[in-house]
Formats: sequence, structure tokens, C-alpha cells
Amino acid sequence: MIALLDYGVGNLKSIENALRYHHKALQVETVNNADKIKNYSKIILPGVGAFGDAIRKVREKHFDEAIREEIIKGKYLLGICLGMQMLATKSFEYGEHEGLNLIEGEVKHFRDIITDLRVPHIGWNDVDFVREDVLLKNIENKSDFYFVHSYFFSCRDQAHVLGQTDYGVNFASIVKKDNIYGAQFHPEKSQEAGLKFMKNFVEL
Amino acid sequence: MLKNRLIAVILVRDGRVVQSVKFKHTNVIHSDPIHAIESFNKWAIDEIVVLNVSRDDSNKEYFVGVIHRISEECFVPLSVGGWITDVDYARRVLANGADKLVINTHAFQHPKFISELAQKFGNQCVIVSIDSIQNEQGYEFATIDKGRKLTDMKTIDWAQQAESLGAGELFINSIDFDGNRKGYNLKLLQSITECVTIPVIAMGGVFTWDHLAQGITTAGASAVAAANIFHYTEHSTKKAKKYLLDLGLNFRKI
Repeated sequence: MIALLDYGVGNLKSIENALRYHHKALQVETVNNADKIKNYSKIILPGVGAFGDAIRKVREKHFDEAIREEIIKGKYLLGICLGMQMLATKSFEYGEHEGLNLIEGEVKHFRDIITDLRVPHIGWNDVDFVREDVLLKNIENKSDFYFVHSYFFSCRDQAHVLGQTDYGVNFASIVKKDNIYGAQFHPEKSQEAGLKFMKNFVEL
Repeated sequence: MLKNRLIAVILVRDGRVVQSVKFKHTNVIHSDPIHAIESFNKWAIDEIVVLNVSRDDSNKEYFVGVIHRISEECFVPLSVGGWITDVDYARRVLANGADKLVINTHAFQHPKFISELAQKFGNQCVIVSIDSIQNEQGYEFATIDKGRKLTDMKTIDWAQQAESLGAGELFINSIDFDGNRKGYNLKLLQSITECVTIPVIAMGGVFTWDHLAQGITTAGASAVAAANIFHYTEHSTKKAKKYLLDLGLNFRKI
């Protein structure tokens, strides 16, 4: 059973549709109460919008504590887009905000690094799988995934980078630390490659 | 490397898919928008834009239901617009499966609306659509209300203002070129892509696959969109994609 954390932002329905594409009978439920997270075997932290606003809502709902308790038990967590960025230590999106600090790193604006490319980074870009992982099973290396973001995750430890993507800078597009995963792209909007990614997560 | 995008636009009027010629939406192409989605080669298109072009807002709730159904079949980004005039409605459109919002008339009349949506949902979620028309002196001006009302704002100025207010993308259509089968208004598009730093989506006038290519190579657009042409050619999206890739352009392979 997969818990899709609902804190008022994000296109949860598309994630649900994509998870069920290869697993028609999959039990996936949107969860807006932190106490219920323990009833699920996997957790997805979605997210669109601004970092400060999102992390505040995550804390207000006590999702942060619940997530920590569950991942210690070995449950898998997947952060998508802003949900991945919230795994970081801190973000510099409109000020400075503390993240969940589950994977050490900082979230920075593309404009801090690049000047000659259009921002936001919107569209399909390829992901270079820097190491093998069961989450990437049966997905061709350098497949295109759909991105839509202005900030990127800068990992402190390269060992936590599972996939990287070039947009003026080589940024971490998939991160992994133990049972915690994050994807900067939207697997639920990335057609075949994305649907396989979701399938692999379901089958972890 | 980031790819250019091929976008299919679906115009929905009173719940039915219509054709657009110079912003008149009279010919019904599909009675149910879901058939339009099914008629595309699902794996060739990079993004879908669905616009509610109804004359009034009386069926905007029905339209949310249309989006809900479309999103169940749609594993590419879905951008949705038409009659988005408040944050609550925008939120419902997003909750029903849209990934990005396309705003036009209301954004022009209330420019703060762009910032409001950008703060709530992020810049990347906000596409400002501009319907441009050329005046007798040859200058491009923004229109609103589906091209029915001329404004005194130059298209280029509105484009720059929209960017500074927080738009994440621009969707540029040309009334003079819409449905005329001569290709995009390349001059207009080029002037805009040169003066903004956000992605620009080209729209209006495509009749050959080469018109799509021109939007990228001549006008510098990040994405090329079309409506009518994709409905009238079999396997159209796949053929269009193949043409663009064969030219050596940087699109996502199928």
C-alpha cells in the first residue's frame, strides 16, 4: 500500500494514475493525516510550488516527523520534484528555508550558475544513470524525462547522486540514500520511461 | 540536453473539440475531447494544451470534469486554460489533473493575478497566453477576450511585463496567422524570444511539418504547438515528430 502525501499542493491524481498504469489493483491512497502514514508500506512525497510554503505545510501536518519514523523502519520514500528538493538540508528559494535534511545538500536557483539558458528548465531532458539501481531496472540509460523547475538539488555527497542531467550545470536529477529516493523530474508525466520508473518503485 | 517540445492543442467549446480559423470556433471536430486525445499517437506528443474557448463561463465546471477525464489518459504534461479567473478555480483545475495553467484575458486585466498564481503554484506552473494582432502600421498589439478586444499594449511589452510578474512560459498566438495555413508569425515570435528569458511556445498557422521546424530554427521558440493539423492527419503527431527528428532538430525521440 502506497501513501501519497497530501498537504494541499501538487497534482496527486496524475501520480496515482501513473502508479496504477502497470499495477491496476495497486492500493494507493492520498493521506492527509500524519498518524495514518504508519499503515502504508511506501511513501510518496509529491510537490509543486514554492519551497517555503510547501515545507511549512509539511511541518504543520507533522508529516516530517512521521516520515522520519517510517523510514527508520526501512520503508521506501520517493520525493518527486519539489518533494525531492524538500529532502535537502536547505533551500535558497525566496530566502533561506530548512529542509527535511534526509539527504544532505542545498537547493539553488539555476540563475546562480547559468546566464545563457532559459529558466525555468521546462521540457524533456535526458538522465544519465551514474550507477545501477533497482529503481532504474529496464529503463534505458539517458532516457528523456519531463522536467519543470527553476531550482536544483546540489548534493553534498556525490555518492547520493543516482542520475544526473545537464542544463548548463550537471545537477542531480535522481538522488538516493539508503531507502530514500528523490526524482527532480515528473515520472508520472514522462511516458514510458516514467511509467517504468513508477513500476519499479511499486515493486521495490 | 533539453529538447524542444511538440505540443498538441485541443480547443474545447461547450464541451466539444472545435477547429480555430482566425479565432472563430465553429467547426466541431470531436464531440468528446477524450477522442481527440485518443487520436494522437500517445507516445509522440511531448505535451498537451487544452483550452476552454467557450463564449461564456457557464460551463467552466463541466470543463473541469473534461480535464479530469483527459488526465486519466494522459501521461505527458497537461496545460489547461480558459476562464481561469481566480485562485480557487486554478487549484481545482490543477487538482483534476492539469500540470500548468494558461491564463490570458484575466491576467491582462489584473496583472497581479500572474504573481498570485506564481506565488501559490510556482512560476513553472503559469503560462501567459497572448493573442497578438497587427495594426495598420505593422505593429503587433495584444488582444484579449479571444481576440475580440484590442488593447493599447504592444505584444512585446506585455510579454516582457508578464515575465517580470512571474510567468514561467509564454504561449504566443497570432490572430492574423491563426488557421491561415502559412505557418507561424515568425517575425513576432522572434522579437519575443529575443527579449525574454523564459521559454516561448509558438502557436497559430501551422499547415506543414516544416512550419513546426521554422518555429524552432527561425523564431527560436522552445516549443511548437498546433491544433487543427493534428486532428486532420492520421498518425499526425508521429509523422510530425519524425519529420522534425529527420531534420536533425533536438526533439525527444519516439
